[in-house]
Amino acid sequence: MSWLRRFCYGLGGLFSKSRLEREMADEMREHLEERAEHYIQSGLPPEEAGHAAQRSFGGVDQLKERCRDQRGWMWLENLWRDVSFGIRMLHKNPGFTFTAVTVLALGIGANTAIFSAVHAFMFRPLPYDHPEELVVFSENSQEKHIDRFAVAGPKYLEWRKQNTVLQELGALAMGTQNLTGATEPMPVVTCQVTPSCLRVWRFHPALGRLFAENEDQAGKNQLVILSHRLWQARFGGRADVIGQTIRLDGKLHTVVGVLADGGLANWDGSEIALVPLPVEKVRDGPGVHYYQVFGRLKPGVTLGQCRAEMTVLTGRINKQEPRFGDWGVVVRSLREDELGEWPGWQTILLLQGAVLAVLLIACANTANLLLARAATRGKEIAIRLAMGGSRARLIRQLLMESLLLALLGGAAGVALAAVGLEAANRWLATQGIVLWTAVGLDPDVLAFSVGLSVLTGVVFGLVPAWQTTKADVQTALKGTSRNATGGVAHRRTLDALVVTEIGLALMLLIGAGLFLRSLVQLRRVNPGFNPANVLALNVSLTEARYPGDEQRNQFVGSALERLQALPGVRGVAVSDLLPLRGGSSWDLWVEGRKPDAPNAYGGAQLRRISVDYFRTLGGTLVRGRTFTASDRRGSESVAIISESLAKRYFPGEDPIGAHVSTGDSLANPHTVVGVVKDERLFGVTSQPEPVIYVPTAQGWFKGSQTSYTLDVAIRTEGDPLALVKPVQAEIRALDPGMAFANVQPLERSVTDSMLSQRLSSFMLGSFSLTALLLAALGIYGVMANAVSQRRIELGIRIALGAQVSDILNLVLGRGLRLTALGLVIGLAGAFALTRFLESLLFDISPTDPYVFAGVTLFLCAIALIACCLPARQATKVNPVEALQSE
Amino acid sequence: MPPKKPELLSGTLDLLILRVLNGGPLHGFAIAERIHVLSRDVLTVEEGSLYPALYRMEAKGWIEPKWGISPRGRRAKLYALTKDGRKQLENEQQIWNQMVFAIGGVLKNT
Repeated sequence: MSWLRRFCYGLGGLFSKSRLEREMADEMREHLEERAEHYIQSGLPPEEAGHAAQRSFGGVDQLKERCRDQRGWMWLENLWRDVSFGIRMLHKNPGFTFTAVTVLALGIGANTAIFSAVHAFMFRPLPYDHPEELVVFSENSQEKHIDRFAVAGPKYLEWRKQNTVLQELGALAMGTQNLTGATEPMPVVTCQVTPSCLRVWRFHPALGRLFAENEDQAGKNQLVILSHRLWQARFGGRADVIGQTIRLDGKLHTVVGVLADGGLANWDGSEIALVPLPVEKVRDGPGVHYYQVFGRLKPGVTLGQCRAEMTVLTGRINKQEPRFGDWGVVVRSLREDELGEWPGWQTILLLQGAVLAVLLIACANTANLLLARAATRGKEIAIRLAMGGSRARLIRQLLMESLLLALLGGAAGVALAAVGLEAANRWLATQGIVLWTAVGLDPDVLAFSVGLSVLTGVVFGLVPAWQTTKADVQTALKGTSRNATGGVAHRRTLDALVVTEIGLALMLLIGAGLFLRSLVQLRRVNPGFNPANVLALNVSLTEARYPGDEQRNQFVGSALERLQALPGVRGVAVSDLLPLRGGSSWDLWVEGRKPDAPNAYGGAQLRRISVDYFRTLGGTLVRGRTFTASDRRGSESVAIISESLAKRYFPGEDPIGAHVSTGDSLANPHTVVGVVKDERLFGVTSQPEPVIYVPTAQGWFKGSQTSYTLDVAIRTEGDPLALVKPVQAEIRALDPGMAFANVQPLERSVTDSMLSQRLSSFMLGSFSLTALLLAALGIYGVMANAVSQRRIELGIRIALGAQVSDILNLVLGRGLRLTALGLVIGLAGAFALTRFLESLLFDISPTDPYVFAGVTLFLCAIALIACCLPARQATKVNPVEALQSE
Repeated sequence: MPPKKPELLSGTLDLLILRVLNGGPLHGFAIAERIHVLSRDVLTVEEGSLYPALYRMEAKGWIEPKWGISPRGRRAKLYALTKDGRKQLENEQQIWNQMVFAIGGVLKNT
């Protein structure tokens, strides 16, 4: 029962505080009077008795304070008092409050935004059923120096048949097909999946059903499942769509199901048609690496066990079938796989580190502001200490003020982050980038922000609270308000904060500088083709309409002729894939070499191109000749190779006239007739790869698709986008059912391939500029404060004949010493940390001397300006006024 | 030099207050006086210790305040023992007796 009484006692105390206060005052007054009466009875004169009673009683207010502390639930009461007092103080200094909240909002907001990305990519469970069981398989080859590559179909079939660690294994291939029918022909993303793949992902149909196990066989596979989005957008969400037929690349497919909303997880934003991956395609060619393979672990099997078994299994399979070459298996968890994609976790972690540094600077700045204000509050604090306020109580109260500031800053920061994330998501959408997970504010992120705000408040509030309440009561009350806390310890604290700020800002600026220079280097790279003024678009020739090479070549011939005749067109070419639009590796043999010779067999990119390809794209012929109109079907089968291929397979030899074969079903072998400079096919940062080019006129590859996709490149005189309409009109004149995909200037693909670098440079740049601004404000604030505190001293010096230069030296000297110290610390930190950036930088050392020197000078200049303003103020001190003012 | 006045042993103030209140409700001044008198003027309870102790014991539920009239005829806050307080007094008294016995034994036998 006693706890209940105590509970009521405490609670009662909270609600009847004023009554308790009054009673306490009454009680003590009564005591004093009684004591005085006692003294009078023992013979003291009445006025002396009063004083004696006071003396023996001691300080009434101190005693009251100690009594209050004894009362239960005092902490809650104090808390409330501190909060309301804090609110009053913040309200009384709107300028200070606004500045501090703004600074903190920048820091906390940036952290919230970046953390929401970290959270989304690294911590939030992936949106699948038991995502921890999902694994991704790819292949690697030491011989070909390939870390990770698409899987060959027959290899996948062996894995599926022989493994014991997986519940299920599935393969898929992404592509684009023309959807024709009710609407204008449009390209849709098609995902060819094995029926098992749907079980790996545990997809569920919203309508109808999924594919059955045998529906990947010829004659049974003209089926399609629609993604929820495609169903909504193109079929009006009607339930009677099941059983209807649609045409994909001209072929009829029966709709058997619609996937549940959210069922496609990371592809949910796209309009996707799922079709069965024909099993006979998968069985084709052990050298054709074409498939993404996903598996689901049996319960209890670890990733490590799976990796071990699959490695042994793959080794055995390769021994039995030499055509598999040395392709090994790469097993990764789904999360690892997703994290490998843009935006890389390294970049995100780097940015998180950067924003934490910005927040630290914001903390230092706020601490500075609080300390500066402490100078003016020194007297108030001293009085309160004298009145019996305990130091712990005062620290608690000052901390409460900082916490309130931090929470206000946090609230503003979260709002800022929400706006920023919204803008970022919109921007990503305009760039056509679909993230596999939503980046936004969720309860976890909000909890992080609140926690961070509280931590921030303690970090920047503790030192000033400690410092302020250390004031010696006597000197504080005797001295002037300005001197009250101008002690050595106080100044050291300020100095340390400024040095920290400058050091952190320098590190951030150096990071940003490195990224910027890396971006400049990237732009300087010659990708081996000239992407300016080239319009690229994709068409697909369906098997139904273009059944043979003859029809396809005829189409290409007429299309090239028509487009060439358009005004404003300088050149036209086609290729099955233009640079920066993907690729796949093919087996390659050099004829006439022993099979086990080191340069007899390997992989290469294979590109089918039209005659004018290199002229149109701005490639450079190094040796031999390019293709001509006489390289036709029936004439000698020819090829052009890239310099990398020449270097790898023909070191020190002349490749012209050599014979090479590729792993497709084309007329083999090809006679090499020319060598061209390397094109960087996978983005400007990619390493040049061996490429073999063959003429479209000499044969087409029968892929696993039901159509032949073709990239068209048109070099224009002016803006490439101006030609989109006329080009499409010309092609539709040849084939009214033609759909176009990926219509954009080739230059866009180049900038897109640098997106991650551009984005991280931009973000790191803006964070470090924020840091710079905060640091400059910090040093300015400290210097200005110092000058105003030393006004009298400066006045005396001037009165005694100090020159302007002496005063400048005095004030600037301190500022520059602090700056120099901060720079030294920052440089040391940067040297230690930038090597972690190495993998993110392109063609530039992480300790690039130009960046280090340039940024240091820049920061020096900014610090100088921040010091000069207060220094000029100092020289203008009027000695008479300064001495009179106190 | 006259012998120093003994100071209140720490921890014994609660015991003394409880013991004094066992005789009936008293107000603060009277508690201090009673201790002073009962100790034959040896022990003086400072107000600076008395009131925080009273408030602490009140919060612990050992004593409860009642409003009554002081011997001077004024309205005064009287403190009375609760049931918990009585139990606490018994406890502390027992501990004290053991302590005295133990210390006495040590002092006698050396």
